[in-house]
Amino acid sequence: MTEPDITFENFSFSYEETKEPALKNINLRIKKGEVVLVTGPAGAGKSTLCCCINGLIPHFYSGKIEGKILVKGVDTQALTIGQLNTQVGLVFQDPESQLFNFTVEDEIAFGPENLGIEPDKVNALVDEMIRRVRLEGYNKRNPLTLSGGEKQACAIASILAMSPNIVIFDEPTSNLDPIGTQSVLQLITDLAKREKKTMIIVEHNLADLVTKVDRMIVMQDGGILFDDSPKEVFRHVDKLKEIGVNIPQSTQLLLRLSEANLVPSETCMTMNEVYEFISSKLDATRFEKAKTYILEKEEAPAGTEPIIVVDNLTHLYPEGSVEALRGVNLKVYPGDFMAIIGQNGSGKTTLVKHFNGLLKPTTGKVYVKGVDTSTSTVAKLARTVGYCFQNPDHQIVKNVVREEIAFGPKNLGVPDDEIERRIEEITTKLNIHKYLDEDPHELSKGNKARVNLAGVLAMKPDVLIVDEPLTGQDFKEAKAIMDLLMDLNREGKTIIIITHEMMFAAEYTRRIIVMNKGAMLYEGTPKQVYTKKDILEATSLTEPEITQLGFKLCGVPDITTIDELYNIIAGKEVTG
Amino acid sequence: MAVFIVGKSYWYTLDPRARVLFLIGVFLAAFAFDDPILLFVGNVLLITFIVRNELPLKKLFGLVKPLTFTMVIYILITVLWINPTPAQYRLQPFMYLWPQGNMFPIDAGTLLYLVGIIERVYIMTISAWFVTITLTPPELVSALTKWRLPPSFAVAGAASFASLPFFQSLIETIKEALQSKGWETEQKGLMGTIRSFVPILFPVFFMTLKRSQGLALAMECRGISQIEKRKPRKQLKYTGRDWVFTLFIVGLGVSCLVLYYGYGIGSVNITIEMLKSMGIIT
Repeated sequence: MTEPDITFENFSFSYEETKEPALKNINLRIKKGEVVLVTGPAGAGKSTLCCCINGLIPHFYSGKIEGKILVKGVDTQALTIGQLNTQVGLVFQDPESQLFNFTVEDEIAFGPENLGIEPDKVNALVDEMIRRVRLEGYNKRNPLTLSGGEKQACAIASILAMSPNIVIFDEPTSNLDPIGTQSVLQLITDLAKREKKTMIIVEHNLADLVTKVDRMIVMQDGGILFDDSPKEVFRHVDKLKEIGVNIPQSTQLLLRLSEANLVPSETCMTMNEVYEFISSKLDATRFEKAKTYILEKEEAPAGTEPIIVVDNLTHLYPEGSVEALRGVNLKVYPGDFMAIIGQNGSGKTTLVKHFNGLLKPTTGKVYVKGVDTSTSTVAKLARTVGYCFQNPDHQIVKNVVREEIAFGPKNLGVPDDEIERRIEEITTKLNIHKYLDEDPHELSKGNKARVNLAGVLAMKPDVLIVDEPLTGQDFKEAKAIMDLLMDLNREGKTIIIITHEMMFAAEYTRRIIVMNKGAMLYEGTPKQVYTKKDILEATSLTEPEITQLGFKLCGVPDITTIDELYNIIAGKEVTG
Repeated sequence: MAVFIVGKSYWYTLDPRARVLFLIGVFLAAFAFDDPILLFVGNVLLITFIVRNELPLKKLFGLVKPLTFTMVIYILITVLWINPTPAQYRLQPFMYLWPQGNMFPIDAGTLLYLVGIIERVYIMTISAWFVTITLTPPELVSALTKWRLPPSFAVAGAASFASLPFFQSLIETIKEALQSKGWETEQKGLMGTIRSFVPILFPVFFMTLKRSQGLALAMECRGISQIEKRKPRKQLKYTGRDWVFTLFIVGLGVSCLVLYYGYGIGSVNITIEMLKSMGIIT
């Protein structure tokens, strides 16, 4: 029997500053050439597992270790990171943090140069890697000017150039837009087929990967919950859903149908499998009814005075000649719940920065509650428009949660007793009351985002803008954030989110703005947007999986949520 | 995001060592002179050189704006607190550490000297920024190791160097994020100006630590711990073009020092005397 590439033997690890172990009694063997998908909720220990394999633990991050890890039969504690670099390559989540050279060529060459490989061979390797990750023609480009997917491809090439036998991808798509995600996942699966290397892919996005990996490991609370073929792991789909794993929408629908005894229990991992199974088990007349249910369109809220009016807005950044925004016209009404979607660089953030005056129009006007934003300050507009930045670390200024939440209202001159009252109310609503005396930077990603949101909500703005609230969050946390925003919207708050998550945009928002190359390409309800194939194609966006399944089963294009399709199949009343 | 600029101009054809020496030469020249007219000429020449080498003027102006805060503090400390004569300046380089007790009246010579010093700060900042955004960390590592600095030291230096452009965009982002929480960036008075910058320090510090750790991790995963074995793909070679540039730039710096300390040329006193003889100041 050949020796496994990676062996964990009763391995546990605790970071120095924490009491709870990040990994608990892991026993794992990964064979040479295996392609393994690792998933699980945030805080399950996935990234820690990756860092253990390439030696960053314990050589970079120290802590308490029990048991051992063998890479190619050698204990990682007995090797240096340098020695492990030739065995194990690790690609991180954020491509920008991994790129620090001027050109794609230099970026890829950096690792092999450090390994002492002869310059001629390095040059040949660079050419080979550029070809493999399909970056031909970009040799002399600055990596930071590439698109998200291309940046991650460059990061992957720079790791592959060091010829490791084992390659680990730690959530390589979590910071990418849909087109970047697709291209990176395609690249990884192609490499898995071609390279015959051992690959470990940590990913929340299961739909695109489950059919392409040999094995699937599900982690929870530092331990391994399931370790089997994807098909076998999917037999526990109810448990996966319970712990917050991002189950493909089609599989979720199937689970609900079987729980309601409408179809027998069956393990299906992909939309096509679900389609084949459901259509073989149910009478076609069930799906015919959809045509009478769904065609009624939702309408955007209107009738009241808009709270934000964007009038022929154009914006040019001082350093650029390219128009970041081109002739945008938009009205936001009180109580609206709106998503702004589009590729990276399409102008989404530039647009919303005009709503609170961070950016002033080059031409055109933006009015907030009738006030021309070019004549007002950001601090004044902050009373009406609250803006949560994508990265809470940019916005958190205090080292105690209570002080952090009080920072905004204090700036607005709110009296202390009123601030205290708001803190109590908001932290209770956001479920972060127990952290009031803790350091916000020590909290989990999800709770940190909540603290930041609380800080903005404490200013009592009428409009809340949240920039990519779901990026880097696991499914359970993302759903919790969207539920929270929905509650705030029900209480009368106007919500605007920027997101790449089509599924959440469909389930929660009432209106979607599609941005493309600085222009507003389309505005409508989720149903209207997801039926416009030409718009989606032009922006390289894809409708939610459930919309595709709905079309295949029922022949109607505007089913946008699992609830809708379930109700159609179950013969229940369908509301738009 | 770090803002590096890649080009194909004369500057980019130079050996990284010549580009580092450019900074030293410019610093020497700027340190040598304190005459506002000559330093103004120096600024114009430097900006012309930078623009000729493919750096857009708009980006350069983007740098000048954040410098204004430093300059305001500098002017206030110098005029209201120290108000030194040029002679005192030369004799007591650490005079900023304690009050000198000669606040008023403000001397015309001091004001001229002050203008010169501000121009000097601009020269040094602009040239450092120019080199920072056009020299890659691997180039700097290669240059420093060629000068027989320990590779680990060279890498640490290069990593810090590479982070400088990142701070510029980081500070802007954090300022915007805090403004969105009602924080006023432009408060009145010196204390107001200082106070308005305090909240920014915490997130900048935190993000800097995070960025440094990210960079260190990325470099670790790319074999930086084996740097002693490093074989650069592009072997550095000092060509005739590099020698000419080096001789010119280092020669310029040294000449300025010699002219100032040997012959008094480049001193603010010449301009003061000239303005006195013209009756503009007394």
